[in-house]
Amino acid sequence: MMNATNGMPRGVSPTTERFPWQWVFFAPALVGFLVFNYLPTIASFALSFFHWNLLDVPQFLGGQNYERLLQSNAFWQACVSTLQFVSLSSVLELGLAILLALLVHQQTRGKAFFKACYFLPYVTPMVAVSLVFGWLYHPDGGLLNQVLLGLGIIQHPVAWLANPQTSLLAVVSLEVWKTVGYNFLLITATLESLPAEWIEAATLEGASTWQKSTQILLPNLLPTITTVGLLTVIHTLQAFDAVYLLTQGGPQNATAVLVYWIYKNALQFFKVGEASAMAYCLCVLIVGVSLLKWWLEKRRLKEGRV
Amino acid sequence: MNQFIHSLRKLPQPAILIGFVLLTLLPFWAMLVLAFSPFDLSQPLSLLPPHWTAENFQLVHQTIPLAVYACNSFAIAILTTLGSVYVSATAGYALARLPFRYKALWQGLVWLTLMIPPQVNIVPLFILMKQAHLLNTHWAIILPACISGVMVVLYQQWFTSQPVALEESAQLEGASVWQTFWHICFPLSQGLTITLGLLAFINAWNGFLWPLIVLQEDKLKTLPLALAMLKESFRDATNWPLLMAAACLSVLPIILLYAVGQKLLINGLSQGGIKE
Repeated sequence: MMNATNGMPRGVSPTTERFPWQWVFFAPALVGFLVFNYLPTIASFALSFFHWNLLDVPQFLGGQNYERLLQSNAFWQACVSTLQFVSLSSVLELGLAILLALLVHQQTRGKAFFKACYFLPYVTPMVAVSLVFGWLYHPDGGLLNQVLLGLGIIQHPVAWLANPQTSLLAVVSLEVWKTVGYNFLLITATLESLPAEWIEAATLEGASTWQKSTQILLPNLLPTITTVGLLTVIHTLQAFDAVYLLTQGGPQNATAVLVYWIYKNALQFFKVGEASAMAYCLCVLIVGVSLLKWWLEKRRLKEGRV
Repeated sequence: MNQFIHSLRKLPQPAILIGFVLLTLLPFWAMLVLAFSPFDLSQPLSLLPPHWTAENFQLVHQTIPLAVYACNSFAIAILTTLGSVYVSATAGYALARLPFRYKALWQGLVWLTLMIPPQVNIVPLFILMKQAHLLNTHWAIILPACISGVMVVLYQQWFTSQPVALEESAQLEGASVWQTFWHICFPLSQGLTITLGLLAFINAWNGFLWPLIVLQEDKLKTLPLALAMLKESFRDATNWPLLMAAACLSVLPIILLYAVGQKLLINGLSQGGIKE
């Protein structure tokens, strides 16, 4: 993904030393990063040691927020929901993206069409799409129930979103539908960077699509798959919109992922400290995955396989 | 599972691909069809309505001030696009070309932001906006959205990869750093700028969580917020056709933009390997 910048940055000319142009260029971004990124991140860390309801004077608690968090069932339940959500969506998002990328890559016609089609959901507003999914899964005349009742698979309409056993799957399906296309593009990009002769030669020797995919393309995709997989995990750990819009965390908190809990605690219950502590737990998780990704990419660069 | 893979192997590949195309397009088709379906509680909505009607679109305009929400969304998306491109291009150029003391530090500062999940910042950012009296203004959304670590890094990589010859000759002829950037380097980055600009616009247009938090006043809300509100407003029976008509209208600008910029967006994304 992010290749290291090649070579040393080159300074332009001695005249630049007289007037601090670099700061004219860099200052807006620097101020922005400090005010909108670093200040809030540090403040959030500080807040996680306080009790605060946004109105009264904050009360210092030390590590109590974290202690209470680790002892609360709700937190662990949110972790379990998040884990289920992340693992299910990541596996599906990655698996389908690999399948589609391999097949589209070996397609002679219609490549551009398939790319445009599969990527479309990624740019579509989540709110609009969530309304459609809300209808698809609706117990009363929703499409899924209509189809399954018509086929005789179920006898009575099922409330897919209100059933703890199916609601998570429903949210996952929306998340997967929306993001597969992005992973698909990233994997396609790697496939297109591989020498075309490999596939041509294999085709001449009569290899099937399946053989070409598993024996030539897939082994060369492994580094990309790792990177895209970890990116997907980071992305799904942060999922909020789908949950908020489809199930509001319900039923029985089956879909209440961590980010949803943070939102609820902070802005509905006004437990700012607890929400911050929770956010930092999530942050540690995400930074951990990011570091793993970074370390793997660095090791790969060292081995000379880009 | 093995059996599944086995049967997949036998299927002709275009069939699989087209199957997934249909799955991908199904929600769009459903949105469109429902938007043109008559609202009738006595029979379930289907993907092939008995007759088509455009009255839902009129009804949307009578129910909510859609034009106001659309204007809000447009204002936010356009200002965010312009702002983030300006801030990121200049910062990327500075890091790629201009001399800095402690460059590694500034570089690291930008890179580090890529790792911090935005959720951590939500509460303090909300307090910050409150203190700055920016709550219930569009600036609360636009200003933070103009600052993007990913965009700075991508611009920096792009400018670093370009040859310096052109800039050197421009400077020999007496062009200032700003003139060199604005008249030579920035126009050359057109491809990247369009890709990043499109993405910034789309992200701003689709944004939900942050606008939900900072915009409480009705007349300031964006289209996604209005849609969510409209859905909440139905208590017993949801008027799906009305909702879908509103959804269609909120998706339309993005679809049009995608139709025009799809090729650039997809090529740019697959070449640059943009994350997020």
